[in-house]
Amino acid sequence: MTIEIHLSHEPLTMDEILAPGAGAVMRFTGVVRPLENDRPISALVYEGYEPMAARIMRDIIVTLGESHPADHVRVQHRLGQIPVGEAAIIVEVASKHRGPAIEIISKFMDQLKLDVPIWKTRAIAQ
Amino acid sequence: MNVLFFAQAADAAGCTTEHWDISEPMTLPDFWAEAVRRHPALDAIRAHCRVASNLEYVAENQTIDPDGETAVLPPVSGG
Repeated sequence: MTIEIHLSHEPLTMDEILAPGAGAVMRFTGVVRPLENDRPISALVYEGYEPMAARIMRDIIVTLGESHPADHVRVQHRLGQIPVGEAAIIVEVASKHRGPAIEIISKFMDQLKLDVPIWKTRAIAQ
Repeated sequence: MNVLFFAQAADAAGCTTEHWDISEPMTLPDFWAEAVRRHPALDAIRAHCRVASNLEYVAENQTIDPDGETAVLPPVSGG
């Protein structure tokens, strides 16, 4: 399984995932919503402990890959100020069949929200 | 020991990084006692924070490397 982890302060890109032989390519995009605690916002500010975040994300994927075999997993998480409507995270998984790809994305996002040291530190009011 | 503070922990500490002159491994209670002595506002959030040493979460029965990088991590909210 090939794993790519990218933490970026620039807008995320959606390059086609490289996975010859994959029968399923799933993509989850987490987007900044226009309301935070029911108040309209224009952006969220994210902060990360970048080396540890990258390490823990990789560990999570390695563990998930043991029970959900995949060919290629790519995670991009944006940091800094992210405007409403733009992607904060993109998770892409290529696998032979759709089941493992769906499971990895779902379980990865659950685990990210427990253990990966990234924070929404501030909402910019509209 | 280099100590990093993130998010609400940085707000409480009033800084994002500092150096402590520590030569022996620290337990978590010892670490928090020192952290709160230096930054009393951390006491209000310590129950919700985790501590990492050299990029790994520190468990209750582990000690903190005095020569490494230690981080105070509030509850995460990525994604």
